[in-house]
Amino acid sequence: MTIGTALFLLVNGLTNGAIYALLGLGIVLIYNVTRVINIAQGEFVMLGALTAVGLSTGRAAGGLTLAVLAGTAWALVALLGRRRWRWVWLPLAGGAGLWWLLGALPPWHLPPLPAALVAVAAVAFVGAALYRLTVQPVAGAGEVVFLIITTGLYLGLQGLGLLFWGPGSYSFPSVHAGNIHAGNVRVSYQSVLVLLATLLILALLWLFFERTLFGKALRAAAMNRAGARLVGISPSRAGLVAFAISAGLSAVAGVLIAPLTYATYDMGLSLGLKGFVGAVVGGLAGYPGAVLGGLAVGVLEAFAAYGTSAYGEAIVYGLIVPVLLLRVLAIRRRGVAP
Amino acid sequence: MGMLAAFALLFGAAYAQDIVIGAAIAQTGPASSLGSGEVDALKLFEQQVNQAGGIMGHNLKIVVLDTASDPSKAVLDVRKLVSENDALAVICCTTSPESLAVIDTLQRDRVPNISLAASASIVQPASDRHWVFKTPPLDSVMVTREVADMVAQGVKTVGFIGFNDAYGQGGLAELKKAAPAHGVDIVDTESFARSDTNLSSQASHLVNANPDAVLIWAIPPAGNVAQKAIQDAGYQGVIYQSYGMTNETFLRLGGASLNGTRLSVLPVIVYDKLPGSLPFASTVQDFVAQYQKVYGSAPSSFAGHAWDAGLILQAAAERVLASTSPGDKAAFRSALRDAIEGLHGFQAVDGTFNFSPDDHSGLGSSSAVMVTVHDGAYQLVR
Repeated sequence: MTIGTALFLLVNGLTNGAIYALLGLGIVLIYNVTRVINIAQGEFVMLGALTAVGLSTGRAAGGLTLAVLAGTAWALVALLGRRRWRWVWLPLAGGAGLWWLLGALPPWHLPPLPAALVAVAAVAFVGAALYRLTVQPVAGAGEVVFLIITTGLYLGLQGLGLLFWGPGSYSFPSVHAGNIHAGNVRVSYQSVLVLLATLLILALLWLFFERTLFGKALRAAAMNRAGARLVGISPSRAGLVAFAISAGLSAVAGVLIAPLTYATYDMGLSLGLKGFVGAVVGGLAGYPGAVLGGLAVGVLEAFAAYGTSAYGEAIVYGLIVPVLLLRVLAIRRRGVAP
Repeated sequence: MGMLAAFALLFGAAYAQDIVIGAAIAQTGPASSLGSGEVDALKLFEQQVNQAGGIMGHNLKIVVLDTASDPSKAVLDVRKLVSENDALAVICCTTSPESLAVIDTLQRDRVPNISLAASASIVQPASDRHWVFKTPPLDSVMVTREVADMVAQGVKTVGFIGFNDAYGQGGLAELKKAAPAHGVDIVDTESFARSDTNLSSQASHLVNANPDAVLIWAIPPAGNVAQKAIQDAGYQGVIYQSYGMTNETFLRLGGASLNGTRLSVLPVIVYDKLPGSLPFASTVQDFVAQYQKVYGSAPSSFAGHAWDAGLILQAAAERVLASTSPGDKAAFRSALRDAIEGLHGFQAVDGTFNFSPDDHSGLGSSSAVMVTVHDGAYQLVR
């Protein structure tokens, strides 16, 4: 392997790794705040990518339809929870009206950037609504129950993806096509964009968690649920925000990766799994760990696929075994009960 | 007089026994996009044959059951078709795993079958596949045509990248047989999973091996991803794709970046460009015209495989009916099988079938048409 090839693989691995890092961040954020291992994390990537494609190419804006559906259900649940039967018609009428509006509007042909922003906002909203509808009603349940719920979400969202967009694959235009040539190493502008966007998001997240009251409250809820509650932090609101941010992060990942590959309804699972591997490698607790874990998975994947393409995926998924073994050994040595 | 003839025809039709053909097709499940075209073709075939007076006065009845793309369901379907529907022959199945699963049942019940799936092991070894035939050409036919084209293009070295499943590895196995025979060196082989979205590593390994040509053995969109990755890695040589790529997704996704890509395809894909010198060109065009008239779009290659299964059974049944009654099921099935094996120089949509006791695939090199892609359309290579 030449230096040029190695650099090419490194850049490529880091680009993919940044995507896994965004997914891993979302998984860790949700896990920390709500104790939910979100199997459906990759589906937010799919929804983000395909909604953006739909908005920019005039195909079905399925993400918006889903947002309307989820929002209507959310409002209904909220009203029924407070026994305000008389107002039930309001969300039903509003939802039906928006549904009609979506169908009646001419096909959307937004430029890539607005399409991406609308898609991310819609998916973040869907994430929050799904938390309200599926996780919050059983907030005290064990992790296995959550696992079953999110597996159901994964199956449901993938099915909806197939319903909205069909089995086809779609490409999304890059904001700036082309390559940068540095010596004999080529880096596409999209790769640079992925890395820069990931850095920007990390900085924003850091500011949010360190500098805002709500971010601090979220951290408190993650560290100690009971304690947070005692000082007046609502765990359900924290969960809501965690799901919204997490879904939004994954949608950003989807919009970023769509120009590099093709967006399909079944793209979510393998991305989500790799993000999960990255999060576990990083310890499934800290945000820097999730980012480094994701990047490591990306780079390992690139070199493994180069070295032995038949076993590339197996090596990435197999990584989780030695990492967990090492963690158990480390915990034993320190004398902390696993 | 005319009334008398109509009367005779009516009575003849009423007394002549139906020719029942069973079809187990993947109408749902992962292979449903293949199966839907096959069912459409079979329905159309049944209707056309019966409108033209049936098979020598016998009404043709095609009973279609859904396998749900599942091999174990396919076995149940075939049993039902044979024992309950009294099928004289079976058309099964859409995919290779299903077609392999039903072989034992068919061999034991002594029912002729025509498979619509790709794998060579469905009809090989011929000694263990006495009752089984298939209509799609073997991978070896398609690969050998591409390797011959490589030689014509002056290609000396080739790199291979394909799926890590039966389709990709089947293509690789045939390339390993065909390339050395034509003096082409395989300098690199790479594989990937159907769901992979990033193939830059494999592509850069291929490009570093610097082959004169690259052969991609996949289906869309993964095959598009592979081609894009190879081109992004700076590859300047000739890119070959497989016949599995020939649906509209390939051309739509690839756009102008596919210009110059070469591939061997089935005749039905380029039905409007076939040279009249091909003996089966009119059969193909006739099929496409009928299909388009009823369904409004050009048929897939899978619909063509099903149509051919119908044509073959019709031709074989015509030969058998002269001597055997469909009422004697065992004798009719056996005679039907012998008649299929005896078809020689039979022109159909997938090419000229020459069945023999050793060859239950029957298609030769004429079934592989070499094309290049230019501005979103296929152009025939002369």
